[in-house]
Amino acid sequence: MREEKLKKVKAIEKDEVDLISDLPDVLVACIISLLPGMEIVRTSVLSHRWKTMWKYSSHLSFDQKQMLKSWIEFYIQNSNSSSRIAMAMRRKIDPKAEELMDTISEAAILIKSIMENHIGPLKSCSIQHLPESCASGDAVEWMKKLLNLGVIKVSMELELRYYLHEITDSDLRKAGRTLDLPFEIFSNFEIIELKNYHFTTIPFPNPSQVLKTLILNNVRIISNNFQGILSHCSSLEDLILDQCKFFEDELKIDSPSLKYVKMYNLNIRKILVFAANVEVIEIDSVICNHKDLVLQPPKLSVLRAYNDVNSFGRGFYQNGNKLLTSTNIIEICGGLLRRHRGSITGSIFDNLITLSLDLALTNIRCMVAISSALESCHKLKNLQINNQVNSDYNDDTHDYNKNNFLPYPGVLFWQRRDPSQCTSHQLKSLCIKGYRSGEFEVEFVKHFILNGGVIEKIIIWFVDHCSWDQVVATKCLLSFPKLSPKLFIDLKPGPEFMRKDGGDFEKWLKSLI
Amino acid sequence: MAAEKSSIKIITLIAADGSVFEVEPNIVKEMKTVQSYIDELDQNTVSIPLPNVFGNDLAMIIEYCKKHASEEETKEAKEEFDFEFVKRMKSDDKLRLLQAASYLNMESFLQFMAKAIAAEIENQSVEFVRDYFQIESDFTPEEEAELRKENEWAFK
Repeated sequence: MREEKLKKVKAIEKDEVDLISDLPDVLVACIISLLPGMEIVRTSVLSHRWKTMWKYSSHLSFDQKQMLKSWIEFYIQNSNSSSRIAMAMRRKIDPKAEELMDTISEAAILIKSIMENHIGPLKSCSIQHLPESCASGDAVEWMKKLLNLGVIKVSMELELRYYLHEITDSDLRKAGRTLDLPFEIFSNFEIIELKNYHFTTIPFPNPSQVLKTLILNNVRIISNNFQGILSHCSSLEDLILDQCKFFEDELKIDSPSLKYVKMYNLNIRKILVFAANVEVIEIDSVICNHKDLVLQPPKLSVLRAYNDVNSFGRGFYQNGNKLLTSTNIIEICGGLLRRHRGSITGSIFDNLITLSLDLALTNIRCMVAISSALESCHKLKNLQINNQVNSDYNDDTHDYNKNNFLPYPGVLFWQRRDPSQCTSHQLKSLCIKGYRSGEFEVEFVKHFILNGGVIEKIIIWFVDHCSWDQVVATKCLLSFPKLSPKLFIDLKPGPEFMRKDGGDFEKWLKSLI
Repeated sequence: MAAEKSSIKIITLIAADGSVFEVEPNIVKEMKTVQSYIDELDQNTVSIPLPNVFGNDLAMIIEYCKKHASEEETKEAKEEFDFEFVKRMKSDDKLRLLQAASYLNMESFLQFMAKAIAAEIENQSVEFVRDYFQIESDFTPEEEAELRKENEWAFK
């Protein structure tokens, strides 16, 4: 046996040292730190050299129910979820009591001991865990531990798919879902990502706070202190809110340190954004009461507004709230709706450099809105439009097209329109996605070719199902007299074709015949 | 000083096998090793030897940098490119490019290659991973069995 081993070792020594077996430890650690869950631990059996390599990884990710998997599964199936949570709550009070230990608490201890035995500096950590570890306070303990280890980025996720919804006792359910985090832990990480919790913390002035990025996903802020979080996290720059619920159905963002705000899939009556230094706002599929929307960050340079129309369907109403489309946003912020309180002072368009919108180019109301936004944007350089091809969503948009809203046919809208100051002197690039090459769209592009004084690029991404003559109608635009000598027009085939056959436009055009 | 630096128009990179690549300064921004050369040299044209990177690999890295430095490419187009870029590579290519990225000190490209490699060994058996990295196990079967038992909870 021993001889065999010796032979092997010699064989290795004789082998030419190639690049691969020579992979330095840093690079190995870099690769294995990207493995999901605790798969990284399995690398310890590869060879002596690899035995402790994983303990130098800068990232660890735990999945509590995957650890001790068969035991935990058996335990969950053969015990009552309410009594497990109740036991976990007692464990919080008496953490050493042996009669309160179970498989889930063992997994929690294992997580803690892996953290303690880690050798290399741990920079980030993600933990997906069961509701019991909320109730037992283990989730908070882990975070405390991680902070002591010098971790700067932490992602915590509560496992929701299992049994929490079956628990009828509301106190137990609350205990299984609530993360009650001391503010000095919360605000001393640089990056925090929380998912699926009912979250609470008591903000106070914390001189050592460093929180820069806060990501809340499906989180309910259960007390009226979101405002306090924002005002006491004075280094917070990035705020990402996805499917969150707020106390009192109101979201007010006025932190002066914020630079970047993303709001996804929210349903909140009132949204107020005043933050003085916000540069980027991204809104996607937000439902609110339009009368209660105020967006007034004076230094905004990038606005991206999208809405997933298809998943909301036609005219989505809920307690007076409705889907906030790109058109709604630019109408409200651009002062098109005179009585709206969001339109009273200042315009978010003043410093805007990049504007990216979901918009139906065939819809007169959208056209009026974007045209007036261009009037108010004095510095806009980039305009991107995701043309909503199958946009059935409307509140009253169709009426604009039908009821002779304009004194001339809608298709002439852009021809009749005088170019805005921004179109003539500022706009550098226009990008349209989901382009069908209909007559409204062709007119829109033509407007910028004829009037864009300094425009350098127009990029058009076609949809796959275009007819040959439609596409040719757009191709003809290439020979139009361009106002800007620098203008380059780039036509891109449909995405399906690009995936299969590459980006050759002429080839795509031929394939349409 | 600053003005002179910006006057550099073309940077010549010379790979280990002698092949020569001429690139614009914005392409090499991500290559910190190259960048530090440029910052030190006070010249209008710069020629930099890269004895640890082969021509084929350098060509791929430059292709990647060009795509990602481009402002007109959308995020989706870049993701699409990344997907195809990895797809056409063999395991050896990935490991070589990872080494090259490390040598050139390219942070995001290094992460990108490490991710691609991690994706290949993800969910694979211990034997597969040994084979992939050309690791000869120097454990006795007893030692290995013991280690597996110790970390039993991490194995399926």
